Amino acid sequence: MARAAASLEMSWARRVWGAVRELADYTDLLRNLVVRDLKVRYRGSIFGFAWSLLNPLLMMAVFTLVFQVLAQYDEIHLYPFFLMAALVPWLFTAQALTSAMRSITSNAQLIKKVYFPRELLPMSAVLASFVNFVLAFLIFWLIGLVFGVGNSPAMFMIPLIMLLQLALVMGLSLILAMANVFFRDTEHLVEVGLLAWFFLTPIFYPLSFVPNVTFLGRDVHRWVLTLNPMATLTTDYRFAIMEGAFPIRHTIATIVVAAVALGFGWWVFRRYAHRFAEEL
Amino acid sequence: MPDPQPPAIELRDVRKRFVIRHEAARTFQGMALAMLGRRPMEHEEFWALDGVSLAVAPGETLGIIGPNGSGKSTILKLLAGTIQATDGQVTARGRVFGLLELGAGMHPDLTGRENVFLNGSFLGLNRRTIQAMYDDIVAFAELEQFIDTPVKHYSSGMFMRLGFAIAIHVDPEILLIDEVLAVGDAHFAAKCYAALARVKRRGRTMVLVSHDPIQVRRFCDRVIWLDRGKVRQAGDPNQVIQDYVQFMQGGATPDDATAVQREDDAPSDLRIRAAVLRESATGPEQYTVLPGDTVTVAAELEAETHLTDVIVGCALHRSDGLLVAESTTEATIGPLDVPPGRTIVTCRLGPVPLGVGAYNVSLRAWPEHKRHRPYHRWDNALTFFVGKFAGFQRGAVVVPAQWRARVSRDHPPLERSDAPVAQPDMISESPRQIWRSPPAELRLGEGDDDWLGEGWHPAEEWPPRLRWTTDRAVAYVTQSVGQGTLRLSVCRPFHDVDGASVQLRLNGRHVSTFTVRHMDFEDVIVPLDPVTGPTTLRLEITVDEPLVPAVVGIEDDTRVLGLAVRSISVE
Repeated sequence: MARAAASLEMSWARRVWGAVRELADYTDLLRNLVVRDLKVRYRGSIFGFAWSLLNPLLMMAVFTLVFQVLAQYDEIHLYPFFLMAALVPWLFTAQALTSAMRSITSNAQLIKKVYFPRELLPMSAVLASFVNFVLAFLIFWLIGLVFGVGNSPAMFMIPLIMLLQLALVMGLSLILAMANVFFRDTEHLVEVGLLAWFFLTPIFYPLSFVPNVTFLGRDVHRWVLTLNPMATLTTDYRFAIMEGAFPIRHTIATIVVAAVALGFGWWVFRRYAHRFAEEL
Repeated sequence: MPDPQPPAIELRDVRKRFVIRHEAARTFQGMALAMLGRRPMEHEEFWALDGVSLAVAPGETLGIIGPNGSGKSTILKLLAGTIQATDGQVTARGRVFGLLELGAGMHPDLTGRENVFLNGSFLGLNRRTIQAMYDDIVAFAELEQFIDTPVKHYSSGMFMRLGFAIAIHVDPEILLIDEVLAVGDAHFAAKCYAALARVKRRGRTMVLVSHDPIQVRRFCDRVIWLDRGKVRQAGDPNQVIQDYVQFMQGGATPDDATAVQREDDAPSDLRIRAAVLRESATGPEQYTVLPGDTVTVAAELEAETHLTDVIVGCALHRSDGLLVAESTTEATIGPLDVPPGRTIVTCRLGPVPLGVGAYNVSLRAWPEHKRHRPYHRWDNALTFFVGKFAGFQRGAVVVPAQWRARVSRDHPPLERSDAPVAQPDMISESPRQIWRSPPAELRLGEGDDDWLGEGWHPAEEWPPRLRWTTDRAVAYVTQSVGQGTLRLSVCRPFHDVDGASVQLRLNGRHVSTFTVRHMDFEDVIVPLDPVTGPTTLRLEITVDEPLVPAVVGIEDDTRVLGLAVRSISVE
C-alpha cells in the first residue's frame, strides 16, 4: 500500500511511479468528482449547461458592440467568431484556475477526515471545466461551420492545442490550489492577475495589434509570445479556426512551459499535500 | 513464541507536533510585517502525541480513551493518513477506512445514490465493487424510499445512517471509529453495534475512540488510556476503564484522603479495605451493565477487634448527585458479626432499572443505631455505567412498558372520573422491604424526623423540642418481638376544658381514642398486640378539634395545630 510504503526511503523514480500508481487506483474517484462538479454546477438552475454558452455569448455581444459599433473598428472579418475563437479557450483557463484554486480550501472537512490523493480535487475541478469547455467549443464550432468558419484541415490540430492548454492549466492549478492553503491572499492575487492576463493576451484584439517595436532590446511581439503561453495558445486556436493555419512556431516554447508547469506543479503540490489537513 | 503475523497497526515512538499560528501570519501582509521584524511571527508549538508506541494485532479491537486533547483523534488521523507524524513511524497494513465523521465525503446537492458511489470511490473502490454492495448499503440504511433525493433534504439521522451503511459495507481491513455511535436513534444504534460485532467476527482490525466506556468495554479487547499525548495505561478494558474513571473523578481509592474516616479521626475498629463490582458474587468484575442486569457489590472489611454490631450500607448516587437507592444490612440481614481480620460482604443489586448514565456506589459501615458515627465512610468508592439497549427508553429509570393499540368503536368515550387523587404518604405502606427499619423510639425534633409521614409542622423549641401535628399526622416506629406498649408524650396548644378527642390507628386499624385537655405534656399509653418479629408500625394520629392560634388572638400564627408531640416509643 502506497501510504505505508511512503515512510520508507525510496528512489526518486520509484516515488513518482508510486504516486502515479496511486492516482491510477483512484481513477473512479476522479471520474466521480468530475461528475459531481458538473452535476452540482448545473443542478437547480433552469438553463443548466446553457450558462456555459451564455457567458461567452454575452461577452461577445459586449466586445462586438464596443469595437465594431462604438470604436468603428472593422478591419477584422467576422469579428464575433474571431473573438470567440480566443475567448472560449480563455474562459476555460480562467474558470479552471479559479475553481481549482479553491478546491482544497472549500473541501476542508473532506481533507481532514478522509485520505485520498489530494491532487484529485484540483484535477477534478480542472477536468470539469475542461469538459465544459470542449462542449461549448463544439457548439460554437458548429455555428461557425454555418458561416464558413473553421472548416480547414488545420482544425485537426485543435485537440492537440486543447491538450496542451489542459496541461498548462493543470500545472498552474496545482500550484495555486496548494498556495491558497497556506496564503489566503492567493485568491485576491489571482483575481487581479487574471484580469491583467486577459488584457495582456490577444483575445479581443489580434496579435498584430501588439506594436512591432523594440523594447529593452527585444521585439515586443516575441516578448508576448514567449512569456505568455496563453498568447501563443489563443493565437494557435485563432489561426486554425479563422485562417486554417497550423500552430505558430512559438508553440514549442509553450510546450516547454506547460511541461514545466505540470511537473513543478505536481511536485510542489505533493510536497506540501501532507500538511493540508493541519493547515485548513 | 513470537506472533507469526505482523501487527496490523504499529506506531513506533510517534510524536506529532502541531503549530498554532496566529491568523495574521497566514496573509502576505502578516508575513511582510513579520519579515520586517515589526511583529515577530508568533506561533506556539503543541505536542499532540509525545512518544506513543503501540501495536494492534490483526483482528484485534483497540479502544482509546482519554480526556479531550489527549491525542486520541490525532492517532486516528495518523492512521487514516490525513496527517503525518512529526517523528516516529506509523504503519498500517491493509486498507484503512476511517469512520472519522459520518458523511464526510458526501455532497449535499447529490442524491443518496450518487453519494454512495462518490463515497465509495473515496475509499479507492471502483464502480463495479460499489455496485455489488449498493443494494445492501441502501437496505441497511433503510433509505430505499429516499435514495434518489438529494442528501441535503435528509434528516441528520438519515444522513448518519447512509454514512454508516457505506462504512460498514466497504469492509476495510482496518476500521477506525471516532465517537460516531453516540448518535442516531436506538434502533439504528443497535443495528450498528450488531454490524460492528460482525465486522469484528470477520477478523477485521478496529480502533475505537470513545468517551463512552460502555462502547469501549463492549467491543475492545484492549484499551489504552492517553493522557496529554502519552500512553498512561494500557491493558485489560475493565481495569483501564475503572482507573480512568476514578482518575477523572478525582481519584478515589480507600487510601486517599477522600476516604472519610470517623470524624473524630480516632483509629477505627473497622475499615472498608477494598471494593469491586462483579457480575455475580463470584463472577468477573463488571462496571458496565444494561438496565435489568444485576450487579454485585463486594466489599472487604478489615476489623481490628471482634465486632458484633456492624451495619454496612451501600448507597447509589447518580452522577449528578441524586440519591437513587440505598440499602443496609440493618433493614435486611441485621447487624453483622465481624471477626478480627478480613471479611467479605456482598450485596446483589438489581435487576437495576436505571436509565443510561454513570452511577457512584458509596459504602459505609457503622455500629448499629450510630449511623452518624460510622466506622468508615467511603464516598464514591465505585462507579458503574448503565448503557443503552435495544428499545432504549429515555429518563431516569426504565419502566417496563407494553404498548397495545386497538381499534375501538363500541366503547363509550374515555373520560376522567371526578374522584380526587389521594396523595400517598411520604413513606410507603410497607417501608420494610426497601427502607431500613424505623427505630423503636422517635424523639421528635431531634433527628428522628425521617420516620415521620405527612401532617407535621417543622420542629420547634418550646422547650423541650417537639413537633406539632396538623389535624392528621403519620409516623413510623418498630415493634420488636412479643407484646408491647406504645407511649406517646403529647399535649394541647391551650388549656382546653372540653379537650380534644384523639384517634389512634395502627397500620390502618383503630386502636384507641383518648382525650387531651392540658398544655402540660402527658403520656398516653396504648397496649400493642404481640408480634413474632420486628414489625413496622404505621401510626396515624387524628385530632378532631385542631386549633388555629390566630383565632384566639395570636395574630401571626395561622397554623392548624392538633397536638404537640415530644416522643413516640414502643416498649
